[in-house]
Amino acid sequence: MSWEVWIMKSRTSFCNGTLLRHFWRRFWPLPLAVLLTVLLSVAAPLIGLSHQSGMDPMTRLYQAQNHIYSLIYFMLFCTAGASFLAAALVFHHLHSQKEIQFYQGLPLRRRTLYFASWLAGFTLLALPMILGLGLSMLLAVALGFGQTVPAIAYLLLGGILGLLVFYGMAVLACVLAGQTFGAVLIYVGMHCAAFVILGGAGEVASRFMPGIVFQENFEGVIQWLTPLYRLLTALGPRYETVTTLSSRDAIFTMAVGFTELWAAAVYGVIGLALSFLSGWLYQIRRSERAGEMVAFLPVRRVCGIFGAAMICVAGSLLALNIDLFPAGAEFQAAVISALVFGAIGYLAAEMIIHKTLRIIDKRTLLGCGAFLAALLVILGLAKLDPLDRVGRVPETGTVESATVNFSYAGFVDMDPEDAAAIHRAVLDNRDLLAKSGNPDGWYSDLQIIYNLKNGRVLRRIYSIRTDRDEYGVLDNPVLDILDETLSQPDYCYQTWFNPLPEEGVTAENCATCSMEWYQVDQEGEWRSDYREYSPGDAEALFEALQADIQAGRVTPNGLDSGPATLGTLMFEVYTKPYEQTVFDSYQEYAANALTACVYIGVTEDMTETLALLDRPPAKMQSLG
Amino acid sequence: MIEVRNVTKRFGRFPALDGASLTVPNGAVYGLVGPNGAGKSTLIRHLTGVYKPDGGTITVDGEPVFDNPAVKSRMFCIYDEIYYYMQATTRDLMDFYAGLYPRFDRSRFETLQAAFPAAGRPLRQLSKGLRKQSAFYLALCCRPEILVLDEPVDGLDPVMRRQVWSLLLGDVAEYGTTVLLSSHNLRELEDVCDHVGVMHKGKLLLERSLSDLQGSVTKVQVLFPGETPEPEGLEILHRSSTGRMHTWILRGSPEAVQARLAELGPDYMEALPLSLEEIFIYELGGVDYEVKDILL
Repeated sequence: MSWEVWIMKSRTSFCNGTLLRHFWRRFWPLPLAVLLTVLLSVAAPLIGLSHQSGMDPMTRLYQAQNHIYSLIYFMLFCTAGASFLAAALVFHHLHSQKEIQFYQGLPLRRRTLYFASWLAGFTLLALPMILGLGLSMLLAVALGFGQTVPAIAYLLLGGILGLLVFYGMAVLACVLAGQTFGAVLIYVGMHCAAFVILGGAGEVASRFMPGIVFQENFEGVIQWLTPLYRLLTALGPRYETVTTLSSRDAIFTMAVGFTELWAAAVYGVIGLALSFLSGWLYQIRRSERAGEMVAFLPVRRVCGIFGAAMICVAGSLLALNIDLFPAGAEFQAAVISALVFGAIGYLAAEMIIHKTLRIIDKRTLLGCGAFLAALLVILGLAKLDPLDRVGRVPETGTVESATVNFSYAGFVDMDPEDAAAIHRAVLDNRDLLAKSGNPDGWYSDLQIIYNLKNGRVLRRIYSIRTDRDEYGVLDNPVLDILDETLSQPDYCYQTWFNPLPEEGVTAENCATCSMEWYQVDQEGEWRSDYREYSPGDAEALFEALQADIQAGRVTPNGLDSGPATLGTLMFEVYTKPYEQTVFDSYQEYAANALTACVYIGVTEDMTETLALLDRPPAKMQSLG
Repeated sequence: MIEVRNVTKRFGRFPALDGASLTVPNGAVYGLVGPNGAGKSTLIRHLTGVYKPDGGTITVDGEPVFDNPAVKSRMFCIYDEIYYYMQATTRDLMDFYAGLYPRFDRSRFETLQAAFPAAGRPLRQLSKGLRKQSAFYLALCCRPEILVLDEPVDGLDPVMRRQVWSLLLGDVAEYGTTVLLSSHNLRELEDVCDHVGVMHKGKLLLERSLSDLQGSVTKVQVLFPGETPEPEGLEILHRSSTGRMHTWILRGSPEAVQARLAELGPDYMEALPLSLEEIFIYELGGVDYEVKDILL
């Protein structure tokens, strides 16, 4: 039969089965590795748990559940790496002249070639993930862990959403780059550029702009532009506190879902969008660029500047942290570091992009000069501080509420006037602020938070010197005003008793109460005496403490201005009854634990309290 | 028919193709010749739809080639550097091409395999020549209407060269396959091509059918009694002498040239065969190119 009578069969416009099978035949070890990893990490521990003897069913279940949910962290890290591997394999033809003429010479549309490659890479990871977790579900049911099936389903959902975004990023990196090394750099850059550049630059600026917390301005942006980090928090397990039926003392914190699955879904959509963008770029990409570091000329410039900025910021932070420069020259240090590492970064980026060490020419020098000039402008603007961010203390009329956090005092809600007075004292005594990464003396962080009436939050963090006599610093106006302010009864109470519930310590909510006395004998040996008190005594002691605070006989927590401590009084109270309580994060669970403990140092001035405490014997027991 | 019209392509500032134009008639065996760096491989990559031109058009029977699977499925290309993936065998590639080329002939593959027993071995274990053989067999099994070959017989032994040309020309004769092949060696193309194009610095300097070329330049040896006359009405492109025996290369068909020289009463006159290389040297010598730099 002559070829003229053959009917040309039309191929599917967007995919090609032959190409899919081709990639699967070539790269079958990858899905096999994924399948084995899933089975070893999910199914195997379930088998192990089912064989453990002497474990009650509830404990077995919560261990299985927590293990499955905690696997999301491992899964996300593995997915981030495996996504790049899969993308680099199926799109490797973009990085080799020989390979690109093989694939793009085939009778396929470019969009078909792209979509078939994309689908091959995605299924190389997604199918074994689905198969492995599906088998794990069946195994869980067979082993009596049927209640963990939703957890495994959640794990699969989180894994697929993570795969969509990481694979989308990896494909984009492979399409933008002309060789695999370039794709690696672009992919890694996508993951950490925001964190390094914005976070690092903020850290550098904070050295000569005391108090400003740059990171918080960009915190949301940095998080969202750092997908792995954001997903690790978004898919962090959400815990539920449950009790056994047999004992109120057995408390289980069981993972029941993800904290922000919606954020992972957003990333999934972003991943798909990146894949569509890559598809468009694939179709317009010039095949002759295979082998170059970056395949698109405009992207080259962007990659170069980002790479230079990352090296500049990282190098500057390193130089500033190893104290190459004297104290007091923070701005000069930042400028010199930025210029030196900015130049190094720019030239290094040019060398990498052009794949040659010989990049010194007029064009490169002009570009480097422009980059360094831009850095100088940014640093200069930061130093000039045209908006007076460094010296700004908000008008109290614009402040809804204020909080101060200092040392062990914790967060103290205070009158905006009082907070502003502390703030002004700090700004008037900037010589007491830490001047370098490793300053001499004792320093503590002082944080001042203003909740403004316009809904915004203004926060300043200062590292202020707290020692007086030890290093000959006798005059510390900041400590003086902190002492004076926090000594006010309401604030003093907060420094000690913020963790307690609103009612304080009562006979009903007290779990334990104890007093530990300290003593140093003539030989310099530490001795102690320990006494426990009933809930009724605890309530009386708490009332006595409040009386001492009202009378101004108690030194605020975190300040060292009062008499020596005789011992430590401890109260442990129940903050919540035993009931089902859902927390959004483990941190929140810890902060809202079923019990809260507070410790307060007892001094000779606290007469009301001392009157209710049993004095220890003259010679206490040795701590040794 | 393959038509390339004023195609331009720049790699950075370098003009790889600078207004290249050529026409390959259906069923022709077209030889594209030129020195290294002339743009032959670049032009071939445009013809196969791998590169997109910056300017100009490339069509097959009026249809553009780039991103056109209907056209590309009628075409097969064997590049100078053949790509194969790590664990590929010829049979694996056969399965691959069979799924993509609608006219792929598996029975032909089985027939050719008798002459190529290495089909089951990984390609990475084969020599360069055997890999090229494998590429030829796969190409022929695809039954393309258009076969594009970049330095096709480079690396093949003389026996295999003969075999490959025999198969190729057999397909041309039986199916009217159009073949475009590139080389920097005119002597190699002389025996197989019926059209030739010369590329230099991204342009086609000359393209002609072989019969037109051979009919337009004549080489004769003449011996005149006495003084050697100047033949009027004939352009002598080249002359050399050994004693009284003159060797002239003249523009014109052999019949016309011999008829005109006969009028001058030579004692001896014989038309000699011209090689393709000699034809091109004297055709292009008139346009003042550094011909020795173009042709090997």
